Amino acid sequence: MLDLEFKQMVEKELIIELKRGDEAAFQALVSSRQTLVYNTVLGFLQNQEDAEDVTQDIFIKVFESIHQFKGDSTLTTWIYRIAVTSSFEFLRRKKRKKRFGFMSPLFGEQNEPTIEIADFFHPGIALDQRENASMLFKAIKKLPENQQIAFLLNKVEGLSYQEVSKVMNTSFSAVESLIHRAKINLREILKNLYNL
Amino acid sequence: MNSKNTIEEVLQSLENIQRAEPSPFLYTRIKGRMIRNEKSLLNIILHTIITPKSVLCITCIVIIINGYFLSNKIKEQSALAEKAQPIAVEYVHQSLNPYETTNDSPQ
Repeated sequence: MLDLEFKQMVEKELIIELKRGDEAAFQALVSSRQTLVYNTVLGFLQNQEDAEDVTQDIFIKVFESIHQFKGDSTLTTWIYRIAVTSSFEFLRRKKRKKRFGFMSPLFGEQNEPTIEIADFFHPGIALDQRENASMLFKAIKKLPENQQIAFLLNKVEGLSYQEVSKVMNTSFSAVESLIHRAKINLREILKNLYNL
Repeated sequence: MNSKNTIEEVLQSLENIQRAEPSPFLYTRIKGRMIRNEKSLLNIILHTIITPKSVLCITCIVIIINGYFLSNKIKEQSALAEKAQPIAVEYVHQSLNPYETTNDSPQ
């Protein structure tokens, strides 16, 4: 109980300092939440370079929009929301770039190659599970956005259903149903991927 | 049975997932990017303006605007000239009259 109160007090102080534009507070925020943000983003993007890039963007966004943080949720929940939104924004942008890629030679843009890397190997997966996890990540990408968010936050980030519901701004039962449907869909997708 | 097992195995492959660590220089990179963003605001504007495409576009726009104003000016001038024509004719006529009368008057 005391620990929770202390954490809340520290968080309040941190938010006040961040709103003042304090650099040390920002450094503390980055060092305490970098793994959280990076892992969340990595789960969605399935590319380490992109994840590192988007993580940097997220922290800049957090610093620039801290004045909009009203304290309705915890700072961590708020950061999770920004991470999820930014990840999907990035994926949409990438998809758009790929769709209109044929136009880039006309305008002479030197964009990065849009060829997607086929297999993603999460660095936190044990060697004996690498192939299976890679297949699972491939299947996760085919899920609807809401199911992806719920499933990844629960399975990769290790958030409880309650915490996921706070991040997604939805009810506990909605998260339960999303994860249940995600599992059903994943079984179907995997069947197709394995030609079973 | 075997296929079901395979799928369940795959679904459980994230069970003991460890957290991935970002680059140890993440904060430095974020700070660098923030400084670059501040500095490059003007650069971005300049870069979007000064490209071969945009220079060509701006040149075309300038030529079109110039052409529009030039044609308007020519029209205005010709309209003015048309208006001034009868006055000029009358003026010339009037100014020529004294000579004509002097010439016409018998000595």
